[in-house]
Amino acid sequence: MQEPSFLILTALAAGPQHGYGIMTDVAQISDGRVKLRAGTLYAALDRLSTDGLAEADREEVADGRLRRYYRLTPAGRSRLAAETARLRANAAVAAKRLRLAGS
Amino acid sequence: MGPAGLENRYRRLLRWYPAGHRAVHQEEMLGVLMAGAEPGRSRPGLTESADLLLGAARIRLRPGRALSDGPGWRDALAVYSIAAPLLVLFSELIGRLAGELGFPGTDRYWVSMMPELMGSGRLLVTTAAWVAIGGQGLVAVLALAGLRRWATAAAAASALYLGIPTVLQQLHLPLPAGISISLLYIPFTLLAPISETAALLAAPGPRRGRQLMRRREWALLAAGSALAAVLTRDFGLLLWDLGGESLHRNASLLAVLVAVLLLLALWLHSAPGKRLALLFGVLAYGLLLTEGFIDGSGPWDADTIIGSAGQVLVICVLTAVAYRTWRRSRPAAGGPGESPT
Repeated sequence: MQEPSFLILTALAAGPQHGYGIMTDVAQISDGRVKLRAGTLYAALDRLSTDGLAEADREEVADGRLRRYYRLTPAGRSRLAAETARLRANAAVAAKRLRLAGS
Repeated sequence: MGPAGLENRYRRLLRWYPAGHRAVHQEEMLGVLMAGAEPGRSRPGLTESADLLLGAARIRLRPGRALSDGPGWRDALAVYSIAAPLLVLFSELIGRLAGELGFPGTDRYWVSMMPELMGSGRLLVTTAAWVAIGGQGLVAVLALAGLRRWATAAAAASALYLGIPTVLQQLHLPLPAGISISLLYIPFTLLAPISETAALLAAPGPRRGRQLMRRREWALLAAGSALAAVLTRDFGLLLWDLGGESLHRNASLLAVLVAVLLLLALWLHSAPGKRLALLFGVLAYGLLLTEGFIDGSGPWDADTIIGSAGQVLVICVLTAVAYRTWRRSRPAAGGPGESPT
């Protein structure tokens, strides 16, 4: 899974968010390292929706602008959990090898 | 130039996105872009413009997008990839159950009526027929499980198994053992796996189709399966016995029935539903061809002309529906390169 997709799913794991909310949350989650732009965000959301990992939750109008909220699907939650476990396992192996190399 | 100028420039960039995507997301994306814009900015930055253009390219080039531009078509194909194999399978099961119960017009009915024509008293079911039925069952199960690649492979294999002998027959070449010629003129049986392969490749996937299928869609699928079961069990001949003067006249009635059902489905449903009705209309036309309800051969007497009129009607309805859905699927605003609105 590409990093933007992982971060978007992570942002949605806490609850439904609209597009701009996802962008700011992703920046916060990644300590400002990843700054999603609208083109990247909506291409990723389109793919995640197509894959059944995220879906539209509700719409509202704020300041005359349409806001659509997105949420994780059960499949998206499972996929994020699996991806987290995979990354954690890889990170554990990497840390162990670094310790061995350093000792 | 103020926010209005910036917004217009964003709108121009968003025209590079597919019409279907724009219809759903344009206003929302504009909101995000304007919320993220620095105060006083009058035109999009270079990086931002490139990001939007790349995003549009990614969405346009995504597998399955070319044949199914727009949520209507994509959703319709996703539902079709599940509903079509189930319809064929259910109709076969309903027909066989009716046969076991000895309903008029079914295999067992004809065996009982004309045992001398049926040899040992059992209708022959060839390997090709079982593969056609089993293949549809396999596609249906895999599609319901959300296994898109395996379902596509099963549909493609089924289409090849039935398609290759059909081509051999057309070329007057010897047929593989166990293949009956009578079962090879099978537009419906062949059309189903071919169209399912195309739908599975072009749509977002059967998982999306399963999400979209609600109680009404399942009810329509059940009704369609029952109708298909009736049509594939020589029910037309039963109508003939009941007072119709010719098979062609009954064919005309059945064609009208299909057209009415199609129009009803169009009237009732959403944009994806209308497209779905069109897809099933094509499949139904293949069914009528397969069962011989639509037949342009034979003497051109009044009955044949009436029968052909039904055929023409179905074609006209399908063409009108295709034109209407095409007109509606056109973007309201211009695409890339067109003048701004």
